[in-house]
Amino acid sequence: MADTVTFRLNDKNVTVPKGWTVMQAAKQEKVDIPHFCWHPGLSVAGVCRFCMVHVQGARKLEIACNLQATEGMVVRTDTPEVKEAHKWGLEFHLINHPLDCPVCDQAGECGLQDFYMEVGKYPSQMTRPKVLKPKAVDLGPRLILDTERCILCSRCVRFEEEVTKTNALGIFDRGDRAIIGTYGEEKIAHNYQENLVDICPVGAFTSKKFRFKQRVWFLQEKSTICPGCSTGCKIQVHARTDRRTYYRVKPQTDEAVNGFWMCDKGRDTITHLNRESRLPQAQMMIEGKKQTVPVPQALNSLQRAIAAAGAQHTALLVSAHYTVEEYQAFFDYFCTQLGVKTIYQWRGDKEDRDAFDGILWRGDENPNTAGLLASLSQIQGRKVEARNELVACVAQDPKVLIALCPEVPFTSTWFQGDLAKLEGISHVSLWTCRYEATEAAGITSWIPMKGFAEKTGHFLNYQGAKRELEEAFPSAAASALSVVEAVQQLALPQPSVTL
Amino acid sequence: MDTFAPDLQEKIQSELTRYETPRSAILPVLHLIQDYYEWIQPDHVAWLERDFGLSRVHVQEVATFYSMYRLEPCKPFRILFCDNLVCAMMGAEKVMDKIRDHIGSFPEGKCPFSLQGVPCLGVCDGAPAMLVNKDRHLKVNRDNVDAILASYKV
Repeated sequence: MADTVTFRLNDKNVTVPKGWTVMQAAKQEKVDIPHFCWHPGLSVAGVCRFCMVHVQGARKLEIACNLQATEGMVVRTDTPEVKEAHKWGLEFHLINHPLDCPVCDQAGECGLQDFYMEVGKYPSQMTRPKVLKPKAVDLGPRLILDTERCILCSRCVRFEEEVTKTNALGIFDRGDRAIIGTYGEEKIAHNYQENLVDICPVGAFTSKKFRFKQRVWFLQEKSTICPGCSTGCKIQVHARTDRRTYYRVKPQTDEAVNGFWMCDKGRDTITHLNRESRLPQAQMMIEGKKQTVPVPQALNSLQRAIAAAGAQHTALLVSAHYTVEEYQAFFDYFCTQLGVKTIYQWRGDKEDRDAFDGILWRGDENPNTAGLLASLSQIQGRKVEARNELVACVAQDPKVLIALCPEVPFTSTWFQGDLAKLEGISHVSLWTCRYEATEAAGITSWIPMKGFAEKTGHFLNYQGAKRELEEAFPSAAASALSVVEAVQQLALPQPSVTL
Repeated sequence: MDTFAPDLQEKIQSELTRYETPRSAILPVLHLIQDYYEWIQPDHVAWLERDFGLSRVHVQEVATFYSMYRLEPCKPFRILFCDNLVCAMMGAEKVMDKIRDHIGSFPEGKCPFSLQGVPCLGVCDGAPAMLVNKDRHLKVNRDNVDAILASYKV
């Protein structure tokens, strides 16, 4: 009993752990308290003065973010005084705000806009000209800062202090001249820059990559897992399904793994999914010429090649970029049903698997190493260690090779070089989503694969924790398949496709 | 010289241990530096980070927040003009405009004066009041200010 407190929030009794603030309790109870500077992943600053609540018996309104809930406290978030405080608070924040919403990327997901519609909707009483400040400041490879839009909530300053511990940002000068910035001309260089864009409640920080690309209200969001490394951050991919184009990645809160953040590398994991870098349809070498063919035809020819060569001359080369479900379907079909015995792992030679940057990023840049090893151990009946077995695979000289190619280009820069080493094998079927793979010589067929955002399933991260790819977009390449779907097609009775 | 003078270093060090965190000592440390070198130079901020472990951003935040820290080299004559209520009522604003004109009349880079508005100088009976370095001038007005300034020559 002593570890919790019960207090009244609006018309409801709320019990929370001792030490919680009213803001945390309200968040849990889904009571909306408008705020700018408070963020669940950062310390309490109490500078925006916007999360005002009425506490029975208190002389004045209190800020919910810094108000510890105590036994028997009676809190209301909807009194006329609170509404009045919001109105004036908002007017104060808007005094020098440029109101350039029509050209601002934040429009549609902006705290100022949202709260103005909720609690504002009054004409400004300011008649004096607004203070002008530096605009479009280049603060780093991924960041643009507009100091006029900034409301000085200090979230970014605290992020730099508390999360990356780089202390790169500060609030300089004071009063209406105060601006956020770095020391001198310094740039922010760490791998977590775009989190600043995420936590900025207004459009002060914008992402260089996403800037002016798309209005946020046209974007659809799907929950999935970042395929950039073995941490397995929970993310949200934002895309336009009508254009089949992926625009950005944002972290989703997952206290156990990534908290509120993700790294910048992870934000780039959607680039290869867009049409310009995608393998759109199956391709095959027919009489020395590369031709686009229907997927069933390419799979059919693979099947006949396996039948001709025999399972003992067939090998599988598998990267750790696919889901556990896909590995299981893949091994079920090729190993259990067809009797293929030789499976090789395909990874980078130079990877530093145990590297860790102290925040999120890990040196094992394959999202599902643990899942692949578990599936391999199961099918081979012995414990399998992670290693690159490409050399052994080539040395065995199989007649047919089915290769599950790595998906994310920047974590598998060795991919193109490795493809050249497969040249001597008579039938190589590449299962890949990357168009660049079609440039390789000596490949027999290319099967278009779905990307991570286009399939459901799960990865096992570095701890072996299950990371669920919850939702899937329709594929940007119409005929792309997941490994599960491809195997299902292979297992179907032979369609009568004539070559 | 690429660090503070040894005697100043000692003083800075003793300030840094006076408070719970070194960050709390930024204010007095900056005063020490300003008293020693007349103004706070970018190098000084860098040295504070390198030699004393104070974040440059934290130091610069403090230095830019308070108006009494000088972040530019001093002119030979620093005018501190009271812009508080009583002096304002006695026309300080207009006299300051006149001083700005005076400053503007020098060729670029040749002006020996700097002008800063300050709160009360404690001589409201002599409003409007100003200090030029350590000299006190009372009842400064549009007519006599040019003559006062003209008496200061480099």
